Amino acid sequence: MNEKVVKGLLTGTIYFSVFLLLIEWLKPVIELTDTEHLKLFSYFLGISLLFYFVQLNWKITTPLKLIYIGGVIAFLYTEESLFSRESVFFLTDTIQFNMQALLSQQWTGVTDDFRTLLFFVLLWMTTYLLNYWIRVRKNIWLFFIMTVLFVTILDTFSPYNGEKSIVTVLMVGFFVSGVLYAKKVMGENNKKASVSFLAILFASLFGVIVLSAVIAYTLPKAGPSWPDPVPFLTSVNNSATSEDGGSKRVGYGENDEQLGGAFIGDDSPVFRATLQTKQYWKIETKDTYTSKGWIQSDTEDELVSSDKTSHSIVSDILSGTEEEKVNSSISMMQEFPFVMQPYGITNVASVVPFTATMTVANQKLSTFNGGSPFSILDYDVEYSEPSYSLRALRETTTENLGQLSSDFDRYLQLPESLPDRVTELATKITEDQDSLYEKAKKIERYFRQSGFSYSQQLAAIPEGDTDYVDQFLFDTKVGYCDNFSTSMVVMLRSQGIPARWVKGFTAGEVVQTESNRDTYEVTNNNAHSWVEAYFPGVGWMNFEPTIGFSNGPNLEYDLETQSDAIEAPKPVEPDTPENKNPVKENTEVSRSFTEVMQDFGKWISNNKAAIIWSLVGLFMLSLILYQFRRRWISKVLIPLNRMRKNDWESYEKMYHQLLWLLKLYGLDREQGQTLSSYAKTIDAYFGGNDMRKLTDAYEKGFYGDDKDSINYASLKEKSENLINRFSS
Amino acid sequence: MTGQTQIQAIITNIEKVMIGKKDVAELAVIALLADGHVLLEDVPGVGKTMMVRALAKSIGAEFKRIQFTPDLLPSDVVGISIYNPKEMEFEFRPGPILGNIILADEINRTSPKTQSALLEAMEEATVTIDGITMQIPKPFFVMATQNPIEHEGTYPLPEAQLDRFLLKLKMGYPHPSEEIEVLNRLEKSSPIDELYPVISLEELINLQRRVKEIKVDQTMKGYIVELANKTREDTYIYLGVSPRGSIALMRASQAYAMLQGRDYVTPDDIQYLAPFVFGHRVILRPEARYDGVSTEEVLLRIIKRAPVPIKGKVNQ
Repeated sequence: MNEKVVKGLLTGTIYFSVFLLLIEWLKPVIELTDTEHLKLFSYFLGISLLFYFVQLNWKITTPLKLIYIGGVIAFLYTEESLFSRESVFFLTDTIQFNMQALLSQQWTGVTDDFRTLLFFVLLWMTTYLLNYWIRVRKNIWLFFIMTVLFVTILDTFSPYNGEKSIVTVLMVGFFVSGVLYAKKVMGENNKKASVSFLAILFASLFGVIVLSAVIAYTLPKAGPSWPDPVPFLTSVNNSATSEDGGSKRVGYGENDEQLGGAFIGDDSPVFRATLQTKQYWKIETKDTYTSKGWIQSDTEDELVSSDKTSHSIVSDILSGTEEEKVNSSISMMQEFPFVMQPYGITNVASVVPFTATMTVANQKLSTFNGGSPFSILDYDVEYSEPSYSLRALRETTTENLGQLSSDFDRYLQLPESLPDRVTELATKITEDQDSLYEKAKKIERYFRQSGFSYSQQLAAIPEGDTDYVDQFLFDTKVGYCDNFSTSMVVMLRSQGIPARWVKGFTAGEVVQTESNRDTYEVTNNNAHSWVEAYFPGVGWMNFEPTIGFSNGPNLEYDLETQSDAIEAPKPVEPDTPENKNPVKENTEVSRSFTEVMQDFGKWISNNKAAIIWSLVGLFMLSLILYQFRRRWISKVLIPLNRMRKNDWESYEKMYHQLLWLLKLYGLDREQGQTLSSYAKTIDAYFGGNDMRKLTDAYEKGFYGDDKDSINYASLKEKSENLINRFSS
Repeated sequence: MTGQTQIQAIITNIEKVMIGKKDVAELAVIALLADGHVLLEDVPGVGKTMMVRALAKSIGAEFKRIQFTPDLLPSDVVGISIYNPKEMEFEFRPGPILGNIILADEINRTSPKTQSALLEAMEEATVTIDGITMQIPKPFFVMATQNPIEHEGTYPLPEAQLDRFLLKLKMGYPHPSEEIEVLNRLEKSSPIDELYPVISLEELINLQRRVKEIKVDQTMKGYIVELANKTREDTYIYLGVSPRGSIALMRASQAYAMLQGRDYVTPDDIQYLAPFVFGHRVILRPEARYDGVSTEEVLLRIIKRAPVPIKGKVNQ
């Protein structure tokens, strides 16, 4: 094969690979900016690179490219041929108009056709730069790295899916880097491009790339171990942008079909409630467990009334006595077309007239105005906290369950795919208790003792056939409220106890106290889920299985003997996430090491994304510093050396620094090599005899102990020469 | 005249006779300056005798040659007391060892008894005959030659005695062009006859004294010991270098430093000389032979691996 042909072939390969990489740049831009006609721009890139490849004179290529650009613009915006009168007028008009707009700094006045023209110019410049990199620098490493970064960043931060792109880019990039390097080596050694050399080169390149691609493809890949950085970054910026494309954020949402996965904290307030004792705020319940999450079977509406300012509410939670009725005023900070219900709600009132609808099936109290959903911003709720007779609770037994009407069937629903071991576990937990209430209580407390832990980050998403509850109970044992509450509902149902899943908010934080009434601020972080179970003869009752949370219903201790420890008022658990902060303040002085470590661990997990990105940043920075070390090191060292004193100690330091620098440069001294033989290598490499002179002086001082007769000033000059020589 | 120029003069003088053997000449002079002896191992006829004679002539020293044969007796080397009937007393006839520059040719051809007589004299620089101890005059330099031990009819020198030689050298055949040059020079006359002394014996003794003043830094002593230690630990080596070997390396390095015009020893000196000083002082294990590794290769590997001290000096 003719050598010229071979070289041309090599160069052609390089240009083609670069073209492929450029297309990977173009694709996301086209996709994300809703620009169409990827092909037209790709053709332009192809033509430009082809011109550069055959090295046509710019006097020929420039008009050709201009004609192409003009043709495309004319085709896109006038659908006329370029050489028609209309097109020519259109183009001249466009340019004239837009130039005026630009000159008068009306950036928004630029029309789309002109933007297309500018985009073409940008592509033109890009190909020009790439041509420079290929022909002169013979190195497109930087371009390759930038392409990888560009695609990965877009894939991470935008809806663009770069999964295929990144594979193409990496494979093409490695390939073209290999070919360029081979070309460089050939150029340096004046090596003839023999067919066998090329064959070996291409075979090994393909081999390595295909092999690594296959290995990479077949290797098991861990999923992302940190949450998607987008919601994190946006939450840091406090600019609440839309959540699509990102992962879940704490807060109330309608869709619970797929539970699990990490949550990002969000402390944007939802509402404020002023009341005497803190309350959980119930929104709705769900009845059907799908093995992945919750759906609602059906929703029958029960119209309470027409538009008016006050509505009395009938919920299936029995409210307490008339005397214990209290009021709470709620002021919403986000718009929700339903009422936040405290347990035992009896009345809702607002200054604005509205329609309130209590949906029986899910206990959601929706608000309407004029037939459409309506968010009331300020309203008062009247409620009387339910109170349960412990005696009655104790008397509920399994036999009573047989008398339940078919209305309760949906609260006993379980997916057929539920693994048997869940039921077995529930039976094991509850078998030594007689009353239904105690069985429920046993399940509620099971999570506190059996190695479960609370984490918003580490909750798994069940994949494939995995059951959400089964995974949590037996595999992960770590999760947040949804895991605990769903598991408890499923276990209660497996024991025949009707149960449902409740969504709402926890009490929130006190932000203001005024004459016996506290104002609580409830944020998205307070979104919560818990459990309601039905006991025949008693009614629905709420349970709180999530560790770190406590919300027990009022119990009437109407039993004669209260020996049982179950009913003892539950001590407030000190390390609930809710009231952690006040506790911490009190014990600040005596914080143990493990606590500090826990806090640190928490901080790390909270800022994982930030930490990882800053590490990536640091890595990139050091990479850049390393890449350009030859330039900056000399600039730093020469003035530093000039400041040194003219004595042996300084010279010794300087000499060793020089050795270190040379090592950094890649000219390493073997440990068995003497300094003077090393100096010969260095001088042979850089030319001159500076290293020889420096080494002689060093040896004289070091081995000969003759430190006074050395001319340090002239040595400084020599070391500068040397540093300059290898940093240039 | 500095030490360096004086030494250079000797070497140049030898080079007039010995063509293309500058390194061997240098090493021989180094051994002379370090007050040591040289073992030359090579086949006959490559110029061993010529070298010694040239060296002797260059320093104006007495040159004696002892041809070792299987029937040579110790008394033939060190001398003998003979009864003089006229004087009615024993008269000492000094042996050839009592000279300045001695060529002990084919030392491995004689019996161990005679060999040890020579080696003892070399080490002590004295001879004792019939209870009378006699000092051998200075400078005293023995250049022993031996045929490669594979040749038949030889008594290989015991290891303990090899240790007495400072350096072991090999001449090797000259390069063809150099050999032609040898023929050219010898065509009409013998150049050895035209050699004249370049320094006197006194000057040589003075040089020998000055060699001992060449500075050997603590780090360099450490380096020498490190190398010697490495030979004792090497898996290929059965017997490593003795402390006498370390001393020898230091002495030789001092002389070499002087030849280089330095008044201090550098690692380069040590690295250059170590194979010549250590080569005959180590005994390889049989495994080395199976693996086809020579003593020289083992030593070079040790030198390559031992870290050269370049900093971290302890204040003295």
